[in-house]
Amino acid sequence: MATRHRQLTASSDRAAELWAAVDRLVDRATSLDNLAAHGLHLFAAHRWRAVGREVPEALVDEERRAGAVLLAATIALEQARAAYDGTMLLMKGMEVGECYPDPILRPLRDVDLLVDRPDRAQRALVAAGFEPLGRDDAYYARRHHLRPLALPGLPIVVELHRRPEWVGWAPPPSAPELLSEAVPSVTGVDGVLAPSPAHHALLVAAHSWAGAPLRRILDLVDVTLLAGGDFDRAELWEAARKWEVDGVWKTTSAAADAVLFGGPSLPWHVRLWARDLADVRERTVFTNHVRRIASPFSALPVRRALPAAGRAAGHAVRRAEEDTWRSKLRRAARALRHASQPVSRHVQGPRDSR
Amino acid sequence: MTADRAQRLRPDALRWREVDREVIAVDLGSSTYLSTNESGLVLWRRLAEGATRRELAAELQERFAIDASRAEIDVDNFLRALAERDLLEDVDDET
Repeated sequence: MATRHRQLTASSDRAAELWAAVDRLVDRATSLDNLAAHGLHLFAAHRWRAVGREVPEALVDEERRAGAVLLAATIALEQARAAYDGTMLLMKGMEVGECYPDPILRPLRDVDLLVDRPDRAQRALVAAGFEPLGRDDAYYARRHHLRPLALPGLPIVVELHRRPEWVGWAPPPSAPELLSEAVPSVTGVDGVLAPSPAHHALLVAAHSWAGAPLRRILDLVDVTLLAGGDFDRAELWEAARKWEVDGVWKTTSAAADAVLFGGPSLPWHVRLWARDLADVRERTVFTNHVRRIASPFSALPVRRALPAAGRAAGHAVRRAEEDTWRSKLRRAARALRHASQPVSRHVQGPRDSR
Repeated sequence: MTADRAQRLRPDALRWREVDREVIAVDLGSSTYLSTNESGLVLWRRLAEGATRRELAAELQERFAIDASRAEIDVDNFLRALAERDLLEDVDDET
């Protein structure tokens, strides 16, 4: 089964077209920072080497780091599997990366495992030497995953999930439902499962949307790769409708087709609030806000999109609990000043490579 | 390094990947990262299968056009560093 999954994605004609499309995006990008904002910087190293272009030492360092993280992820997965005797399903980055031409091309930040008994699994991993990170356990009590774990000395985080991260307007699929359709993971680690291809494509699309709708090209690549499998499309659409992400799927697929394969014209949502995907550049502070408010209209019927957009707008102007009005206003003024700047320059935080 | 026996990397003690023209490895016993340069990659690949000191030195000589004594010194240093971490094992006769 593991072999079947790999063949149905990485070796299909669609996959070959996909990697050629990614090469074209790399060629079109105006800077390495823009490629990194979309998670494609490691493809740039691969591409530039292939065409005889010099690869900057900083990018070679990124490749080394990616190799070290991938090694750490493999070790963490093996040790997590050995520590826990229940059902374990690997989702998202690490599993999808196995279907890339080289898994090192897909940036990785953590190992996402959906388990049948999360608290028991967490205790088992801690007993096996994993150390808790982040905030205290109470903070994670209502989140989709438990407190992150790591093995000492290894630069990778393991997150044990109670449920997948999901869009705000619908309940996520349950762990038993996903586990019941699971297939062997393509990582080759004995006893590790992965979501069925149809489920996995929807999980990745919904997770990406929950973080930021159409947040980066790498997510479109993941979705396209997973959707290229030889499975019944009716099964995917049925699950999408049941889990209330059919609009997300439709919008994400259309964006992927347009951005990666150059459809006849850009869908309206890409033109209006996700132009950064087509232009292969980082989104600006302004478009980031527009995206949050406008995106519900691309995923939901209008009667449901209106309140969702209202909540997004409210969130933008509301003061957080730990915030004062003074600091909120200061940040709002700063955002206005930086409206045309890339988000990373505005927040000056680490780049998300999940 | 006097006896020229065939040795190989211990698969149960290491995980590794090739990145461009280098090797990045993790010593599982200590969770320590190791890396090699391009000549180290040549030796690493041969040691993954199993090789003698003489075979390794000959490989270096051929690939990098260096003299025999330099190649032997490089191989000895490389094997010593791995042996100090207990990352090598003898290849059984039947293998």
